Amino acid sequence: MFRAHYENYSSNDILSNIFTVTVIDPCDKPVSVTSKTLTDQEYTITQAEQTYQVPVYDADPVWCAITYSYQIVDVAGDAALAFDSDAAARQFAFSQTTDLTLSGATSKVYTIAVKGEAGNVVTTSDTATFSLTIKNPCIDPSYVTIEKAVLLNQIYELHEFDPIGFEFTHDPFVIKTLPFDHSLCGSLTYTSTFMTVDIDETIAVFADPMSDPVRYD
Amino acid sequence: MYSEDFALLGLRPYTVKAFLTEYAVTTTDDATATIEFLDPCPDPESVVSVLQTNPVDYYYTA
Repeated sequence: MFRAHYENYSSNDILSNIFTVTVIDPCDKPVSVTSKTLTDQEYTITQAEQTYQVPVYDADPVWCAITYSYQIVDVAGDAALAFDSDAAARQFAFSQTTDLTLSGATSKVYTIAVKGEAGNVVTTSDTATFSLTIKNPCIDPSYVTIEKAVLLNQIYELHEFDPIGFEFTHDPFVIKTLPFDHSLCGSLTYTSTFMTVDIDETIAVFADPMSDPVRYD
Repeated sequence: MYSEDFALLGLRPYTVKAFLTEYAVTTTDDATATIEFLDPCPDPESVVSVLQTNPVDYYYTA
């Protein structure tokens, strides 16, 4: 309330009715939140952890706090990411070292939506999306290669080693993986040629001593 | 390996390559070497005579 009186006759006064002044936090019901454009990401399984920081969304009023959260369309992709939702961090970390089903034979694309929300009482929000492509390392020479063995020259005298044949072996080829050793990509299949013709591993070299002289197991 | 084919005499190439069984695009180029086929006749292991039965007489006069 307030009191009014004559300046020179202060006893002649009057009191107003009681009224209320309410101070409202504008962040109780912000005007808006506006998202930013997000950048698509790629991650290859077994790769060292990769991070992506979501840009700061705009709030109106600007001082209203924004909370960040995400949703992924195919939840299986969750196994390859973590999200630090702290407003100062807003950071995704992509990491996966064992599960190739997340990439399939080549790669899989996961759509991730990031929502920014503000409002102490009535909330408002905006959402932006980006794609995360999870790639299979087994088809990328940056991550997996095969080191071939050195073959040795051989000498064979016709008719020798009847009836068991002349046998020799070569060292195994080696699968090299980066950035660490693993066996996720499975085993090797070998093929061989003799005089530029593929060798059939079912050849019986004694069936006809004038043809198909070499078999490869 | 076994052969009686004299047409093979000399150096003949052979190769081996490998690929990931489940990811055939990941492969090696060819590892190469040769097999030298030799003629066994210049250095035979043995000569076996055949037993002769009642051979016809042969006379030689110097």
